[in-house]
Amino acid sequence: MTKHARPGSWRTFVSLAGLLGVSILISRLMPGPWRIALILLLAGVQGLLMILNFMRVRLHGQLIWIAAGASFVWLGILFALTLGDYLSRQVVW
Amino acid sequence: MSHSNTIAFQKQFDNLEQQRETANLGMWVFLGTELMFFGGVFLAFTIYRLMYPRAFAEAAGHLDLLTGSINTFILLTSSFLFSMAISTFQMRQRALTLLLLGSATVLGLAFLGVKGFEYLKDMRRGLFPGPSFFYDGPDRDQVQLFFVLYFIATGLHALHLLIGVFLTLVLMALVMLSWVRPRHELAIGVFGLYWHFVDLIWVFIFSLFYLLGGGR
Repeated sequence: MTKHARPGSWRTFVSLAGLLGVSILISRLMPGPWRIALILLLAGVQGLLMILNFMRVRLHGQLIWIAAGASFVWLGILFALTLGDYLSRQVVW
Repeated sequence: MSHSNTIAFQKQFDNLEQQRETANLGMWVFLGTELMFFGGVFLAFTIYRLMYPRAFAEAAGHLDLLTGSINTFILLTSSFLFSMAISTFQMRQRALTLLLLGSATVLGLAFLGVKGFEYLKDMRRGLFPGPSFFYDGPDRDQVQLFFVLYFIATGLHALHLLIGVFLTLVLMALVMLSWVRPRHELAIGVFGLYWHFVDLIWVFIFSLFYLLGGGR
């Protein structure tokens, strides 16, 4: 059920700003392949925080969860099928 | 009279809750199409980033990380203010709502101003793709491809933000004229989803284009 309560906007904002700072530090200071994975992971966490709190999905019913989640599932399918094709080609880039 | 009775709901709905869910569902379906739209750009970037890792890392190093970081912080702040505006509107604090929406709009415009400044700087350095593109390092074509994707992604995002700013100004005018009142609570809440979504897209643009290359 939708509620009117403010879902911790301050905490969300501070968390987002903190994650932004950590991402920038990692991009500048951390070498190696883990850097890319960590930056993408942090971007994902930031996105999740925005969706759940700023966009208030966590205050909604299952219908909105499904609608919001379905968009990302379709995006995942797009990425999985396309990258599956490109990454399995026997060509030297 | 309970609070919910004072909020308008249309006759085609059984109750206020159903109306809320329907309005939000409609906006989420629209945002789903927007996600696929930007997803295509992100996918193209991912493929070429995998194909030309050295050139893309080198190209990303030419972006201004400080400017991009400031702009990201500006948008995160605007999202926070918009979220607060939705809450204050529901609490029937009209003046505060207008102040918060106005502040979010100013930050949106500030983002566009900084972005425009960054574009100008890039163009002066010859980084805009086309006949005047200038890059004297190796992998010139791949570096140019990076900037094609960069200008497409950031340009489309800027266009979306510009639309958001315009619609927020319209919304503010409607609130000021009392054409939109707290009993029409969905108006700001549903539009807020669009505003947050545009900011969400920027977080990924920033991470992919600015951070993965280890910009300076």
